[in-house]
Amino acid sequence: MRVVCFFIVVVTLWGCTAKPGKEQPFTFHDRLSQYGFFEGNMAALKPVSNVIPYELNTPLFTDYAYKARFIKVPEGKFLTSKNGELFYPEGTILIKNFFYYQDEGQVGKGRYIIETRLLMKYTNQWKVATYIWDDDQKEAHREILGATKHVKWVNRHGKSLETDYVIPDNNDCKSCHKKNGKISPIGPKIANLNKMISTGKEDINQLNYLFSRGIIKGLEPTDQLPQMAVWNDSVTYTLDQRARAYLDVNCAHCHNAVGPANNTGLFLEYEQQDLFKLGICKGPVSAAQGSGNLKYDIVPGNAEASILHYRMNSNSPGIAMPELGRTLIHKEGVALIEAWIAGLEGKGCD
Amino acid sequence: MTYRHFFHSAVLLFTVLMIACTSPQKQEGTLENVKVFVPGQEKEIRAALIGIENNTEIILKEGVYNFDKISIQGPVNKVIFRGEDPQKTIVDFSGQSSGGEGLRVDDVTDFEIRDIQLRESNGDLLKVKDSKDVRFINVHTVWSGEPDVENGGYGIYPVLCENVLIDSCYVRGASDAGVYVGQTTKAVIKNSHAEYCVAGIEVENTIDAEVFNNEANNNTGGILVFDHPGLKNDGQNIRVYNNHVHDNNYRNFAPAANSATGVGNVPPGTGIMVLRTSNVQVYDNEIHNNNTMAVGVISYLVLDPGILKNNPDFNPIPYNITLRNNKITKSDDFPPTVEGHELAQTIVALHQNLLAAGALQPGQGIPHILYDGIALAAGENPNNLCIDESDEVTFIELDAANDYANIHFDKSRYACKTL
Repeated sequence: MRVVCFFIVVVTLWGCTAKPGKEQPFTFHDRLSQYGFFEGNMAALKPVSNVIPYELNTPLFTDYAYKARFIKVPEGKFLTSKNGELFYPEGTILIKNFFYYQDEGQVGKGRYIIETRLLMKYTNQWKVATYIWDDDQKEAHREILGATKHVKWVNRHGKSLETDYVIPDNNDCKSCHKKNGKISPIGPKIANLNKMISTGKEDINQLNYLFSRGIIKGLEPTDQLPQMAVWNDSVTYTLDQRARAYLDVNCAHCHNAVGPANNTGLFLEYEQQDLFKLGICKGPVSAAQGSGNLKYDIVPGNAEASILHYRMNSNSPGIAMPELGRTLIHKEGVALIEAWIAGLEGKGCD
Repeated sequence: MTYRHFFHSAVLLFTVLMIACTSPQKQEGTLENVKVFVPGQEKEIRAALIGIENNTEIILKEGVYNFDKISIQGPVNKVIFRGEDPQKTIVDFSGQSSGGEGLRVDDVTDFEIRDIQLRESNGDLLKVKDSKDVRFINVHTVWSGEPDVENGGYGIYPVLCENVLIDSCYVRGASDAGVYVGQTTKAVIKNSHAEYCVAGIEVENTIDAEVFNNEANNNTGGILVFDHPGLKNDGQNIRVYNNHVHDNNYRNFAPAANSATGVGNVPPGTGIMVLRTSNVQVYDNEIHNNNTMAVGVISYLVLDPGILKNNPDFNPIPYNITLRNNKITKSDDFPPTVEGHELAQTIVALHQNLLAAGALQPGQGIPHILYDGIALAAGENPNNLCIDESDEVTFIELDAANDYANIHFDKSRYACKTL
């Protein structure tokens, strides 16, 4: 009888397991260290030779977090570029580490890495994963549900800041990284990568550096490629260029004709020339309480009367823009947009 | 142990294992993957939504579920998300700390949500975007308590969708629109009830919509057909019929109370308002006690006089509007909620002028149908308005483009040419 009972248990449990014949789906590693992106102490983020760091002219604001970005392209493969857009080979991994210095004025005091986000191209689709770092900074673990993490730091002006930093869940990732319904990288565009960097040995245009490393091929001369302004470099770039760069990077990943905010008719890409689409004297469509009793997205000459400014300058859900990725107001970004709107031609809308 | 005991244990064990194996219970769902949850399993529900696959049915058993926000991100085919009953399965988003909505659904083909109540988000409650064949059945979206500017904007909010059904739903307390169908092609809104919203039911920039057998009451405006510039669709082919639209005199508590273009413009006391859209038929409705603008046919220029300067390609005129066989009654007095509302005050002032000029008899209220009369083309009826209403239904054309110079009450000028 015991044998019969055992047999029933086995058969029944066997029925519980996954159906055979299904293809093994793509999976990420559970721990960040399993990829071997970094050598030695992982928290030093010192990349191995085929993991290449890159920078952006203007980054997305994420609660004042610093970001260390890397790209890994499979051996023998490379990116190509056409009309300012990048095309990535199968197996490309974009690696973005989010961290805070304890004291931005004295970076030697150390830093704390919160999370590492990966975008991996697999069967011609981008997949997303987030790894949350342990407090001891030795390992990071994959987490699909996101989390919040209390962070505290001293900024470069000596001011103490803190917030409940939001680590996105996997659907949050998708809700920003969508283009024409497909997950796509946001940051590394030709124009945003087109900048001078220091390799330690020399100052070189980053695109040429990536070319020299074999990461990009078939590149046009960099002086013929578009270049995005550095949002906080008022010496090199005009106010208009800086504001438009800021709006492109912080808003246009959703606010474009094929992005997640395509229902709004407000399109904020760097290249946008249609003033109405850019929000000039455009009434809101579905802003609800986000409109803050204001009539237009942008009222030239009057930032206080502009919904764009109002929503950037809020951190309440339902009002704050961007909707995800920040809990704090980016005061310097708001100030930039304020100055830009104040200087726009054609005062008022009515 | 006897043989019989052994046999009993074996049967019991087998039964227990079978239950363990088939749980979530197969018989509850209709799709290939059925996942059943109870309150307390919020984390598991979020994981199930993140990892959602084709042909998945998510069932939330009776109880209250608390979330910050949740979402379904496609592309994915065939998803059912349902509770047991809107009074029993309640999803509460009072804790929403980020994001634009409570439940967000993107890029699903064949999506159904049913028998569930969503409530109290800071943003919108239920936004479904870029999806096809979408059904909302017996869904309640509710901000309870006194309607408030702090409530989220939209209750049931399909946008940029194709083929939407909203059936037997209930919406309450939205600070913009309770039911809001935007930039969608083919939508049916029926058997639903909207109350204490700024706009009860709103169809915006939508092509081919039918709105029937609904009740809208105690909103600022009952049913709105709106169109904005610069969006995917120019709204057209909308039929609004057999609805009961009554007592929509609630104060306008929209955040942008006097915004250029939003529902903040809707005067308290609005029954049915058609703004800008083409080919709209409003017929066989019961429209009672909406005491400022029982029915309005309004140009976008009334909301945004600068629109042609800022967007010269936009035609702001409502065209081919038919009003037929509606039963309309209203009070001669404006609701007290017109106080402080810009557009409502314009109507109140107009009414006073008409009384002073003797055009209306003392005690006579503003007529039932308000037509702003703004046309861009010349001619007798350039906007092709068609009115076929009983003698009891009164009418006013405001001549708003010319500072109300040639107001008249003669709806026979717009008698329908053909039926």
